[in-house]
Amino acid sequence: MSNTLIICEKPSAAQHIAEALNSSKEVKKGIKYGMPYFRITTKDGDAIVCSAIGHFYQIAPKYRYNRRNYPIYDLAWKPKYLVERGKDRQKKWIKAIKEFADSSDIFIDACDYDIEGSLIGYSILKYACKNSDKRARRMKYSTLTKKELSESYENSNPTLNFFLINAGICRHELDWMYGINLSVALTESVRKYSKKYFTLSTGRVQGPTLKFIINREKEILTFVPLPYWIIKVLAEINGEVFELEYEVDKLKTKSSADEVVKQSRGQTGRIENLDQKNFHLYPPTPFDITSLQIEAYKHFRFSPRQTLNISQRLYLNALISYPRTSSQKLPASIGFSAILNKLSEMLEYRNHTKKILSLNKLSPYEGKKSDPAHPAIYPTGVIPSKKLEIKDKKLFDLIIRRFLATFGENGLKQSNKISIKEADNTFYLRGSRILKKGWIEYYEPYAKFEENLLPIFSVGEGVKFVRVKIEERYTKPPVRYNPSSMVKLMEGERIGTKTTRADILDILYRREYVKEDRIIATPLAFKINEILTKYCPSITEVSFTRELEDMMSNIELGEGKKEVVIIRAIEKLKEILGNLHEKEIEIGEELFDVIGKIKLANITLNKRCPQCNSVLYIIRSKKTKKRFIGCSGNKEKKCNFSLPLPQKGTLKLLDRYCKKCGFQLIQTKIRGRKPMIACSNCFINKERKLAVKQTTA
Amino acid sequence: MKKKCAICDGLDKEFNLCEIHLKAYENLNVGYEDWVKALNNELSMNEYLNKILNLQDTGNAIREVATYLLENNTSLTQNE
Ligand SMILES: [Zn+2]
Ligand SMILES: [Zn+2]
Ligand SMILES: [Zn+2]
Repeated sequence: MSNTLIICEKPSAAQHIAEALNSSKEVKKGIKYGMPYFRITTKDGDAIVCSAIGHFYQIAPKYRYNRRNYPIYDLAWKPKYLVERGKDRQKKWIKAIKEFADSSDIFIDACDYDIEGSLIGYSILKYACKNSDKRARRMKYSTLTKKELSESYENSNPTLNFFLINAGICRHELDWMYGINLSVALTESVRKYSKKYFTLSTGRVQGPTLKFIINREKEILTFVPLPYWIIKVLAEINGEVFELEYEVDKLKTKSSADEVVKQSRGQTGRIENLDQKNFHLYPPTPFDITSLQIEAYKHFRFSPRQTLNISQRLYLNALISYPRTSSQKLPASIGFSAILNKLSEMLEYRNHTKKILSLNKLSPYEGKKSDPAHPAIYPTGVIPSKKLEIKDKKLFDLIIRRFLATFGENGLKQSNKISIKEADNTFYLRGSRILKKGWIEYYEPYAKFEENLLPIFSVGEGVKFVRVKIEERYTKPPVRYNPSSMVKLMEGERIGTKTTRADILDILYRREYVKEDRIIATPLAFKINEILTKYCPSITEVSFTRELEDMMSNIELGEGKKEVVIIRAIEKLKEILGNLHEKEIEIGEELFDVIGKIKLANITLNKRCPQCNSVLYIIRSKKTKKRFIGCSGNKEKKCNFSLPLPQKGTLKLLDRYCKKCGFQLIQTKIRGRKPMIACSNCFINKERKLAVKQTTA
Repeated sequence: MKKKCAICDGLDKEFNLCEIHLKAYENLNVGYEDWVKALNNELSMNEYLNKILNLQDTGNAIREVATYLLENNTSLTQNE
C-alpha cells in the first residue's frame, strides 16, 4: 500500500474530491499550519487531499534588481511569499504540503484542467514536492460531481500536460516582461523629467485594447450629425388606424420628402399585394465563457468579471460544469437524459424537461468553437442544497434555460409585408408572428419575439391616408463599447485569453484610462496611446500581440516551442524599449504635462465663485494643513470666499449638483465605508450633517 | 518643440490644430456640404454651425471647433 498526495486548486474543490474518492467510513478533515486537508482511503491506500489558494509561485527577476535598471529579461519562478508582501499564508501552506510530500510516493495533480490550473499544480509538484512533476498523474474533469470525479481518478493520465504547462509559463513570462518593462519605461520617463512619481502602465494586450477604445472615442468626438427625413403615414384599414412606412426609409434631402408629402396628402392608396416569408429561428448554442458573459451583461448587467466570479462559485458548488471554457459543444458522454431528469426535480423546469425528454432524439444545437480541455458550460443536474444568493440564482437560471434551449426544435417566424400603392409612391405595412415556438419556449424570458399582427384585408382594397407628415431626424454617432462588447471584440481580435480579458479591462479602469459602463477614454488614455503610437506603434497594434497569441496557442497544442516564442518576444521588446529610452525626456515631458492638467482638473470646480466669478479650487492650507474650497480671485480681487470640506477620506468632484442650491456636489470616500455625497454650500448655510462633523471652515 | 493647437491652447492668432481638432475641422467641412445638399442650399455657414451646436449627438471636438469659428469669425474656407 502506498501514500498518495492529491493537489487541488481550491479548498472547496478539495472537499468535493475527498468525498468522491473516499472508500472508508468518513473523510477525516484536519488542519496543518492553517491549511485544511482531508485524509481519505482509496483502493490504492491512504491519501491526503490538499489544496492551493491560487498561485503559490510566480515569475520574478532572477537576480536582485532595482526597478530603475530596466529592462529585465532574466526571469525565474519563485515562491510568491518571497516576491510579494503579506503572503504568509502561502508560506505556511507550502510548508504543510512539503511535509505531506515527504511521506508520499504517489502524486496526483487535480487542479483545474486549463493553463492556470496546470501551472499551479505543476509549480507545487516541482518546487514543493521533491520535483515530482515528472512522475505525477493528472486528473481531468469538468464538473465536481461524484461520478465524474471518481471516473477521473480511475482514468487519470499518467503524466501532466506539459503542452498546457509550457504555454502557461510562456504567457506568464511574456506578460511580466512586457507589462513591467514597458510600464517602468513610462513611469521612469516621467520621473526623470519631473522628479515626480506617477504609476503608469501598458502591456502586450492593454495597448491594443486601449487603442480600440480611443479610436471609437475619436469617432464620437468628431461626429457631425447629418439630417434625414422620414415619412409617416397614418392610414385607415377596416376602421382601424395603422402607421405605414415609406418605401425609402431615410430621405436624404428635404425637398424629396416634401414632394412625397405633397403627392400623398389626402389621397387613398390601394393594397397591391402581400409578401409572406417564413424564417427558421435556430436555437442558441451552448454557452462558452464569452457568450455567457455577454448574455449575463445583456439581461442582468453583470460585468464580465462578475459573471466569471459567480460562475466559478456555481462550479465549486458542483452545480455547473467548469466555466472557463471556450467550447460551444456538449458531448453525449455528459449524459443528457440523466441531467434533464435531475433538473426535473426543480419545479420551474419540470414542464420543459418533460417535453425535451419526450423528443425522439436528444441532440444539442452546437456552435463552432471548441476547447481541448472542457465542454461548453452546462448544469450538472445537482440541485442547490441551500438557497442561492440572488445573483447566483439568476446566472444559474440563465445557464439551465440555455442548456434546455439548445435541445429545442427550431422556431418558425412568419413576416408579412403589405404593399400599398398611391401614384408613384409605395408604402408598407409590416407584421410578424411566431408560427412555432420551438426552443423559444424553454429560453423565455431570455428570448423574446414581439408579434405584430396585421389587419384583415383584401388585395385591391382602398386605404385612406388620414395623415401624412415628415419628421426631421439626425444620424447617430457610433456607440461606445461596454465591458461586454469589449470582451467580445477582444475575442474576435484574438487578443488575451478567455480568462484574462476581464482582468485587462479592470486594469484600464483602475489606472483611470477609462471610466463608466459605457466606456469613455480619459485624456490620460489619449496621451498614453498617442505616445505609444508615436514612439513604438507595434505595442498598440493588434497584429504583433496576435502573432504572439497564435504562437502560444501552438505551444498549447504541442506544435510550438516556448523558447522560440520568448526569443521572438524579447527581440521585439528590445526594439520597442530602445525607442522609448531614446526619447525618454520628451515622453516624460508630454506625459507630465497631461498628468498636471488632470490633477488640476480633479481639483477645479465647475461652478464659479458666487462673490467674484473666479474659478474655485480644492486647496490645502499651508498653515493649518486643512483642506477647503477656495477662490482663485483671493489675491487679485481680494475675494475671501471659502467653503468647508470633510478632512478625512478621498474627495471626488461629481458631475452632479445640489438640488437645493445648485452647487457642485462632492463625494467623500473613506476605505471600507459607503461613499458620502454632500453639498459644501448648504453645509455652511445650515444643515450640519453628522458625517461632516470634523469639518472646519 | 510641441506643436500648439489654437483650440486646446487658446491661441487666436495662428490657426494650427492638433490631430483631433484638425479631424473635427475636416468633418465640419464635409458635413457642411452634406447639410447644404440636404437643405437645397438654404443654409449659411453661421446657421449651420449654430444648428450643429444645438444637436445632442454633435461630438465635443466638433462643438469646440464650431464655437471657435463663431467666436473668431473665421470662415471654414480660410486656409490653415
Ligand atoms: Zn471669489
Ligand atoms: Zn446645496
Ligand atoms: Zn486641439
